[in-house]
Amino acid sequence: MPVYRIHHSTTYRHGAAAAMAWQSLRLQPRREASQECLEFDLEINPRPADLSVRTDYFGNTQHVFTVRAVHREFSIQAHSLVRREEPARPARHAAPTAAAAAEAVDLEILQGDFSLEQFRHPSPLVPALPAVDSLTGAVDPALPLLEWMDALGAVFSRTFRFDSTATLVSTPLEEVLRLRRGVCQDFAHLYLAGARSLGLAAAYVSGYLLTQPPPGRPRFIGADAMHAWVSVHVPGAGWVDYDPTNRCFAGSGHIVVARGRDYADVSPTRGVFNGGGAQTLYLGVTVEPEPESAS
Amino acid sequence: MTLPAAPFSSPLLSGYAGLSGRYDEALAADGTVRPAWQEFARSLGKDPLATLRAAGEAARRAIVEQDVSLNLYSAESSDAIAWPLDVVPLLLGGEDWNRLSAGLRQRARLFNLLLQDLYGAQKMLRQGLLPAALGMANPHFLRACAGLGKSRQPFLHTYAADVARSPDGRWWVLQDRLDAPSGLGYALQNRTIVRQVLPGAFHHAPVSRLYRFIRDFRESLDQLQAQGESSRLVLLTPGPANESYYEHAYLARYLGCPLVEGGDLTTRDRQVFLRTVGGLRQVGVILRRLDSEFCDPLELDPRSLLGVPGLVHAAQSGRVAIANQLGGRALESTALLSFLPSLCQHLLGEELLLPSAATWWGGQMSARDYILDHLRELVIKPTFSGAGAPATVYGALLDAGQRDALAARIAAEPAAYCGQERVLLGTTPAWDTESASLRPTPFVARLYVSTSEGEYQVMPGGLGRFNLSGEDAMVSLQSGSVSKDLWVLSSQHNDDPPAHFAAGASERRHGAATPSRLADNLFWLGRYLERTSQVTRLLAKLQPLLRDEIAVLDPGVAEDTVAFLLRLQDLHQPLTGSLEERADFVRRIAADRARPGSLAANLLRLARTLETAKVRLPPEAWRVARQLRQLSQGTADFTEVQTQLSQLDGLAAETMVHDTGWRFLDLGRRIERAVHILQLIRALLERPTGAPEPTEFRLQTCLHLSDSLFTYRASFSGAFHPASVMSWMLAEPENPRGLRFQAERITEHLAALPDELAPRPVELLRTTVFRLLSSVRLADMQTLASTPEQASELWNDQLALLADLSDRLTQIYFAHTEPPENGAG
Repeated sequence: MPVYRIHHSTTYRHGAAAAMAWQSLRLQPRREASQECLEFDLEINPRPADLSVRTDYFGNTQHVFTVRAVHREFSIQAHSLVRREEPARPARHAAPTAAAAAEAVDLEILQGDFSLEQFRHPSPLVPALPAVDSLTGAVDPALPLLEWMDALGAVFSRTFRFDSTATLVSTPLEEVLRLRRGVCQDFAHLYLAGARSLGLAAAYVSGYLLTQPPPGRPRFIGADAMHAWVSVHVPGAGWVDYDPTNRCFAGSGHIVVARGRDYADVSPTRGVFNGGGAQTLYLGVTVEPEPESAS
Repeated sequence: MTLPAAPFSSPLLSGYAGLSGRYDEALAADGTVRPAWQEFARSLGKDPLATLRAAGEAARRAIVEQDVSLNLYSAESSDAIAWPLDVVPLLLGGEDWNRLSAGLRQRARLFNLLLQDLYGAQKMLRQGLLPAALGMANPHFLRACAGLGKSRQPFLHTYAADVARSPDGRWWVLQDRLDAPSGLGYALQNRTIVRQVLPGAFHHAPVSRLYRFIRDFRESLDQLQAQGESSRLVLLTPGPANESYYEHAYLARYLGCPLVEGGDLTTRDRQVFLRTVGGLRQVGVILRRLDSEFCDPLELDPRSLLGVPGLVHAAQSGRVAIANQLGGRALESTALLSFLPSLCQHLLGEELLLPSAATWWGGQMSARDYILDHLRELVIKPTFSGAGAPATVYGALLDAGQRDALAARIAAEPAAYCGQERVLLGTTPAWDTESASLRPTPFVARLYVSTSEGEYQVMPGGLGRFNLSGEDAMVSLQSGSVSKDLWVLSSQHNDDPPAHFAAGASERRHGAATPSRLADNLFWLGRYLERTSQVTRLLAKLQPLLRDEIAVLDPGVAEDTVAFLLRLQDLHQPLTGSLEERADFVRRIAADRARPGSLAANLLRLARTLETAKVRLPPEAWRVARQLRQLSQGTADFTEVQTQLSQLDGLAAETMVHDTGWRFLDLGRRIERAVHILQLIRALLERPTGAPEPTEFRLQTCLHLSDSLFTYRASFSGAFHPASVMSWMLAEPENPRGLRFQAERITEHLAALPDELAPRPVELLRTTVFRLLSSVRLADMQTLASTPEQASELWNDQLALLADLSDRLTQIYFAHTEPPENGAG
């Protein structure tokens, strides 16, 4: 049962002095069936004048604070200690077929699980994209849903190249589809558009990967920054996380921070500054396994 | 002896006939005049049409006088138009009204419960009484606001509904307004005007008065305040660019609360504060005219520059009450209407009293099929309004090809569309200018409901609206429709307000609580007012100066004056040509709005600043603002400008409350005037060492241009000596146009301004003006008159002190964003 020590550092540098900052963070790893956040600590400089914690609509932990000291640089260090297990997953061949899944989701919603509905529709950063049919159309909808998920992942890895310089947070999804390049966030968003076009409930997940892989295994893509993957609701079984960037189901090396409809719901840091001019953002993430004795 | 009742006849409705298939408010189906209209016709006297025409003209004058306006959005800019009002009221009888208002109260209760549930336990979604997609795929459901429905305070403080008459005479709701319903201020303004222009008819009819509703409205806002908090009410507006800014300003004045924009407010520790010249003041209740989505860039639309970061968290903590609570637009969806009867039954155990137009939501299979089969008869509306939503279309107006294309779009995305039965709107008589008579026009009435001590009350009045074209497609004031006052004829509530009742203004304003941005605007209002007055006055005096016969004694005086007028308008390169040509040029650029320093450009700035300070100025000033906007479009009529400016000047001095806000306005004027006096002296009396002393003509002109000649003559019996002229313009405390007089007023104002916020900078500010005052008091005029270089140096120093004063004032009272934090960091 691996335990990870995570250090996530965010620094804003302003072109001019900022007098005031309002910040909202979603940096604390979630508590879930296969994951426990043992420790979480925030170090903020300049020190915030107030700090409050709340749980957002999706069950993520949100920290909100203001900084009132005049500053040119502003940093947030988040330290967490997380125990993560391999999540339970239904057998790949079980569960409904992709084609039958939408109707099964309808039924679950009618039975009271209404919140699934929000993950089936276009969301702020994932519009309905007719062009995404060229990707989902290549996958046989008669496949069991988990097989279908992985087959769509295979189409993604054939079609797209990971390229950390090709896109920005603000690049629209159509553009990513045209460039056929992007980062994990783009892959996750496109995958969501594809899954939702079938009527599936599909969510966005932000989190971390282990920085250095276990000996003999390749290093994951996206390990030195925050990572993103998707989660698809499998009727009768629950949410199953899938990482389209690395073409794999999420395992004990995927640490979940927040879940939402897309990046806009879970952005790790969101802020409004009073003054400050142009700003530059510096990010750093390290995820190290903790010796077993510590747990 | 009783006579058989003769059939009613009045010239008011001669030739008037209802439209086929529609209910008419004045004529019953058999052609008889309804009782309310019989009474109304009688109350208008022998020649009712003439009475209405005269009333219409009087109303138009009143609207122009008071500058009642509506901003129209267009692609590039917004332009204000005069408020469109038809003085012929909408008349509703008591019985009819009682049914309507019972239905509206029920609807308000229902929507309040639905919103509390949507932003609370979400039982309606869980139980399927509200389809999941209407909540979960709803772009107006604000997830950051989830939890706000759990508060015991009403979610829906003010509810508004657009209602219309169906052909069978029943009232229908066309649209529910749940987020930030607009128009209440316009309804009050309409009432004020119509009551004035139709006094006979108004007092003859038992018209329900509005003051009780407004008093309760105001009180209910105060009651929203969290227990134990002693803080204030503000009205949050998107700002002067918004279509109904006039109304926001009007309502704020009516309710006696500050009109604020997002930038006036700040949050800390989940509390909301107003930035004032005396520091931060806690805000307890926000009456909101800003759409929810724009209210908090941190949690809601991050692109919004109009909001207050942290407002959602403050609302979540319950430390500020917002009316209405954030997020109400989620239930303005057309699709909801088809579920309202069952929701009403479930939540209230009552039949829904007021029907909506029959509505089918494409998200349900059978409804989708119905829509596709009846496209020709239905109005097709988007399920959720907003950017990217499909437009509303009338199936009947489409050709076959368009209809097929629409059907294909609906089939592809059925849940995005609703079909609605087309309601033939009932008609009411409206004034037709061309025929000078009444004409039936389809109308919609917006009615207001607000909570008071746990009960919803309907305002016995409202805002009627109709299209001039007589079509009922879309009645919106944005697209050129006209408003009406609504008279509820009832034996209740038609007494006049008791003498002691004054709307709102029960608490006295705290001097230090003037919002910083308002103080800043008032300060610049003072500066622009003074600056434009000075330039206008000089321009008016220029022509006589050129023609003055004794000007040949010292031709340099006119030369220097023309040069000065150029510099005052930011033109610094020397001009060529004859003096006449140059003077002509000076006048031309004064009227050129495109030149940033010109008189016209400054007039426009003045008009805009007036706009932002509207809420603190008497209504007469609003009319001046309108005149100035017109004059800034390039007039050479400087006399007219002067008239308007002196009127504004008088209003500022005599009609405004002499409170902190006024002090900032007067500070602006005094500083600008002091600067002007020094600039004028330098322009005409500064001379190199050894140059001859100024001529008597020059001294006289200098006094004349600074409006001090008359007073000088009265005090110095006709002798013009350089030392005594300088003394009169600079050092004499009795000359209201002299520098010393300005410095003394500035000193008084500064002493009265709050200093708790920044004691040391305020001390330095007061020292600056003390140095200015000492420099005029102590200067020896004989020495100044005989040593030009010493005089120049002094004037330079004094101008520098004035610039310093203005900067310090800005930093302390306007620009302060947040007071420095002690002990943190």
